[in-house]
Amino acid sequence: MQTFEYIKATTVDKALAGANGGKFIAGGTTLVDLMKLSVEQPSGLVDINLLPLDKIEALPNGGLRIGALVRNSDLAWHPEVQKSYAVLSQAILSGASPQLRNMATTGGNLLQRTRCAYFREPNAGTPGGYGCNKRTPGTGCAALDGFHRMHAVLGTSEHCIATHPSDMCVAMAALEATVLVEGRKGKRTIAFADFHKVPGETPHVENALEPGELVTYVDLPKPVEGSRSVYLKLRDRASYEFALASAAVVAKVEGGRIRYIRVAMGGVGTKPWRSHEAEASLMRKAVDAAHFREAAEVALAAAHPRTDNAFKVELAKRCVVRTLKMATA
Amino acid sequence: MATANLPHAANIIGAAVPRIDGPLKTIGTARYAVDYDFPGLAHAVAVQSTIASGRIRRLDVSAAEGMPGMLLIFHHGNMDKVYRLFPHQDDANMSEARPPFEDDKIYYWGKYIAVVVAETLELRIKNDADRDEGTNLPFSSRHLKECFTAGAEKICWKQHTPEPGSMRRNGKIIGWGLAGASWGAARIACSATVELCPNGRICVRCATQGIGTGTYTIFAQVMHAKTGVALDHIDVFLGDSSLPDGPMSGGSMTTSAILPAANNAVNSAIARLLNIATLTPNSPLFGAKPDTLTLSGGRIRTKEQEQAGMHGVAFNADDTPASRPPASGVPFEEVISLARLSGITATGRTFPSFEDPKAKAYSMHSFGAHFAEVEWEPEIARLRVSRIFSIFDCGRIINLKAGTNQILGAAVMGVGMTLLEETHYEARSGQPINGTFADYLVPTCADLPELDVTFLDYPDPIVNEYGARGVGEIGMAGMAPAITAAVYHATGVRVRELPVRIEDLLKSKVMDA
Repeated sequence: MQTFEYIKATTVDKALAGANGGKFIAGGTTLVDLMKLSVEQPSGLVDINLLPLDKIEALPNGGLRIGALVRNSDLAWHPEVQKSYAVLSQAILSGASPQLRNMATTGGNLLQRTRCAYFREPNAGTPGGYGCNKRTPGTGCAALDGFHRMHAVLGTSEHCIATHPSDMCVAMAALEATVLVEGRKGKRTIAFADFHKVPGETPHVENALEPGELVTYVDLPKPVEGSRSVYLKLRDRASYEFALASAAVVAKVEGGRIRYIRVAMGGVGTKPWRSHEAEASLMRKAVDAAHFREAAEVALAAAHPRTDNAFKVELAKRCVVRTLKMATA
Repeated sequence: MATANLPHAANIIGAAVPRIDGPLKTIGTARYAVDYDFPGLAHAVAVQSTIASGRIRRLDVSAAEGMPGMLLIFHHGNMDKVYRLFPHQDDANMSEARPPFEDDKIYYWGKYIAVVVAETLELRIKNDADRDEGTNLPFSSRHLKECFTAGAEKICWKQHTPEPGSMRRNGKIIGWGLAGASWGAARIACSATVELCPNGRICVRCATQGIGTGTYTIFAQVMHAKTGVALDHIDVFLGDSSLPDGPMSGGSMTTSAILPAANNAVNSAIARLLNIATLTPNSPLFGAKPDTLTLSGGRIRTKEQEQAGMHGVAFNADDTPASRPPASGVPFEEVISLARLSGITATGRTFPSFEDPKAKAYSMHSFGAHFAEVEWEPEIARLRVSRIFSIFDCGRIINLKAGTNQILGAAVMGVGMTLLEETHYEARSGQPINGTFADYLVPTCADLPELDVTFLDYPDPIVNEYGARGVGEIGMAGMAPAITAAVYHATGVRVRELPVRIEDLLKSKVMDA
């Protein structure tokens, strides 16, 4: 590991002032790993654990404001989250392990980096190492013709097929959250759908944050009255494992017909994958397995599978169908 | 292939051309008959002629036909015509000049005269061997059949319906599979030293290792069994090369190896102690004959005292109730002090079974059977192991807790091997690309079902005086075939390459319950 400066910030202003080319560290569950692997080599770390961003508060509009430092466990077990945003609680609890969830924060989870084995190789993006455009733009992507069973089938490009690993973000995509950030130029809000970026030609640009900007809160809108929400995760191992395919659904059924629907998928996209196509296909349709399968088909219509991950297309469809059944039962 | 010094085209015939390899064979991906699978595959056992020449006058298949699990018996009486030349295919012929089942004639010893097609459990039970056919030696002890019948009883195999996807519970499809297990047993060389100490403690020393499987405990158990000294007064020292030579920990041979050495050492130490008790002038046992004395409950007593008095000593000294009457005899440490000795020491050895004519006359193996159950949800291609029953014949079990835990640990590895564990070599670099525990999956507790372990506990009369063969790897042997058979039964997908992956199971045609 490279040596680095370490400072503890007690206010957001001090954290922003200390950021100078360094990284913010909260739970450290991703960043410390990546530093040990030489994937991240920050010159300095600004410890933000003392910032007053660890509360979950009701918003006047009926929504919920989640501080960036709220631990994943605290968020998942929060009574209001369990009651009104079940999909979020279920998604968080399906990820990682209790120990990791106790450390990992909301902001950190948003910025979680891919589990692509090539990206995580210490030599990736270096001369003689595996090509990785995320690590070093222009060095290629070793995963394209390498082992890519865990890789994405949606939102991929010829430059990167790395999967976004978060479960929490899939639920937040379905819930249409808003990300609040603060930088030296001031505060701004970013719609969840705009926060994460597909790789395109710039896979090293993973999100909408400007250099030195800090995630401060995630706002959830007022829950949709009469809706139900479900998260389902399919994976090789029953626990402590990233998704092969997952789905988050928020649905409201009235008179046997779907009146409100949000569908997002995990484990298959280069970012948390909201499927407007599936939603459009389901709106006002009767609750029916055949309609669910149609929605799953359109959700995966744009998939670009490769050799090892071809099965994910069918698995993701089955995941969407089952999740829709659960949310509308 | 080397290309140097190849002859010109005109001269290649007759030249020493290097062999052109069959690449499938050299890289290990060639498929053999056994690698192919067919829907509804059953298994068969051949019935072979026991004479070299003659005629089948009568074939009594009634006993076999009455057996549960028997599907069909083929023999010359019910086979259709066997062709030597295939009709309308002049150039295709059968190389076997004397095809089996052709007629009632026996041309050679071992000719197939019938083939019995049977279902899995019965096939295994019927096929049980009473001799090791590899070495042509009798088994020292073998209870495999009982492993199968006991396991069948536990899972209630009589409810098994063989059709894939035919068994359901709680809205899920369940699949059952079974497999046998075997692991070789041997007694390897070991020595151990036992010291009876003047502070009333017993020290036993051996250079073998305590790797967490119960080696310390078994040494202490032998000491307690022979002396009655409480377990918390017994000190076991292992894992130092300055100690008496001990075996490696591996191959499920440690228990069978250390027991004789420990036993011989403590017996010699006791014999010395009793002798010294009779020779020490101020000893209460001075002048007695050593063979009238015994050591029990940590005290030297006459055999009469031992028979009359209480000697039901607790495992730990602190457990002894205060209300007990004073024990008879003399504490062993008192005699050591009276004799002004710093301790009484003796070394015992284990004679390896490889050099023991008595042991070499037998084939020594442990046996077992696994019965696995999986739950299958076709809609989301989710497969989980839901129950495993493992029945083992490992000789006498010295410590039920340690033995059971060994099997449980091995079963966990078996589940991992079957469903999760796989090293992916990066095709271009040759590097294992999933070389971390985040990427190389081993089972979590959530992946593990109820594991039910039973030991038949029949002492092996050959392996050592305790009849204990050892426990360990056998828990994993047979686990993958049992689970993959259950996978087939649930999904109809026969997986021949481990691990069983979701992409394999997506091919299942079994529909939801």
